[in-house]
Amino acid sequence: MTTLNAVESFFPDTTVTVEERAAQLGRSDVKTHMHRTVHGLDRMHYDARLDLYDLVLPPARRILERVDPRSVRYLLYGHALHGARGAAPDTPQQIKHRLGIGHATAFAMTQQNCAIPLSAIDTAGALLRADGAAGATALLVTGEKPSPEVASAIDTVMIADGAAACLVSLDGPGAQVRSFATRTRGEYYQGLAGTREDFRSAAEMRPKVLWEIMREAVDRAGCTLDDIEWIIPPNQGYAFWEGVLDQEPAAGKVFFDNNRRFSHCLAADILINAATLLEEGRFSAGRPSMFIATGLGWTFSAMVVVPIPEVR
Amino acid sequence: MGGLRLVSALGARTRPERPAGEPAGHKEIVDLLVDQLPRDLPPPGLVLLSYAAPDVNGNQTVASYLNMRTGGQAHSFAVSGQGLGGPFSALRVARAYAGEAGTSVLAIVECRTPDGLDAPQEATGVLLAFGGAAGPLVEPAAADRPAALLREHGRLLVVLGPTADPAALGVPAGADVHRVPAGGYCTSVWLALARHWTRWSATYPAIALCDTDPLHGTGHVAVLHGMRDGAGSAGAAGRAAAEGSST
Repeated sequence: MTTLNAVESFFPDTTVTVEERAAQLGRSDVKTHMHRTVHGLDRMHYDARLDLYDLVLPPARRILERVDPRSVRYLLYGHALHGARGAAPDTPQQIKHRLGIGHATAFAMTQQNCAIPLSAIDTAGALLRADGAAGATALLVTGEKPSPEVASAIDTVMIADGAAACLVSLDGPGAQVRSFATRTRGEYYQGLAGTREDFRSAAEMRPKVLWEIMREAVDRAGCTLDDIEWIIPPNQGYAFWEGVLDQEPAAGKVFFDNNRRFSHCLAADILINAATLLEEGRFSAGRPSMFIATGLGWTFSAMVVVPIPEVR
Repeated sequence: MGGLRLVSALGARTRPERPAGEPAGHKEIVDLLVDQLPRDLPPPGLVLLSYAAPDVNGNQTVASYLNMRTGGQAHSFAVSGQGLGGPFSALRVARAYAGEAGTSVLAIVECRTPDGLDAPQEATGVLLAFGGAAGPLVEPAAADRPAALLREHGRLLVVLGPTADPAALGVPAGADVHRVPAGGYCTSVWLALARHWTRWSATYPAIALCDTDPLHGTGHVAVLHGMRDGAGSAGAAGRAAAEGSST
């Protein structure tokens, strides 16, 4: 069984308020008000002086301090932005060498936008199973540093600095991955370049597909939504989840705390949120929780995990 | 594990600048490829897109588009960030999912190259379709695998990319060699496979695709074998243009 042996997150020290970040991004007063009151944002971390590697390497290094780096067979960099405005083509190779794991096979997984970390976890497990190498691991690195112009253009969310990494193994000591369900609606492949009608129909479709994959994930895991302790979405704001996470049986078990303290950290949110729950000791041993992820394009994924709190 | 078996190999080329002045991007290449797919190909459970450099056309999610064009039922994403090694890792991913995906497709596309390399002469793409029942086995491999295949089968074709280093890649003496001419990057050896598949699969019991990334010096190897166990079912070539030299 695929296991998450360790999860770590990282943020720069500098924090800004929604209003300060809105000023950096050139957001209108109306949009700023929406981010605070509708999306539930308050503060977030952002430091313009940091580059991508300042952001993504620290959580990965913390994990590597606790394991034998030679066990890392794969380095997966999961990123959301994938056109010319996204990560440079050699980013995974740079990460690999800066982490001192030059022996690992490194590549990027992308084109699910912010849904990619769940696919990356599943793929890491599949690769390790196919290789059959006892004790081998895969290191998943997430975190992005879009240019101010790009961060400004994605105006449905407020992009902040935050990164996370996790170590995947088979039958390891960490949280067990019990199921993975995913659905892609390729008619929305144009993403932010889609038409107004695309956005309207995608918003209508979203709750139905989310319910489908959440139910599929619990079915595959052999449990029910009532059994789930935490539903852990990315920090895309409360409004995004209307019709699903505010409805029974999801309502009341959704981890939204990090909306107001970290905002949306591209592709890293879900692991960031898992790291917070681990740090705060809020997982019950042996009780299933569910990651859910969505990404422009549109991909929807759900993954049931059974965390073991003492393992970080 | 049943292994990954090749059921179709298709290639496409188009001029980087199309008559309308709009650049040919990943979606346009994918359209050329999907139009050639066998109509009886089952909807894949896994759809992979691989490239070395980002699309020229904005931030379209072409992996999702390819998923939709091939049935809309697949787990889909892109594998990149590894230079010309990306398609080899994508093949590794496809093999890892072979048991649960049933049919899978991998599109390898190129309309630009990473910094430090000449721009490709054409926008190119290859679509490989895999299944689990018939066709040759396809495997990512270590450098010693071609020599083992030559010993096992007595005959081997080694397809070398334009910048492949045969010594570093362990190309065995006695193997026939096809060197792909310069002009492309991450699609090179895969386009040659699509172009020549029908003839090569009837001639050779085993093929090794080998390339060396000029940016990193990293070598990559994939092998196909078991051709005589049903390789004739693999359609090939499609719109791929002549490779120049051929074996």
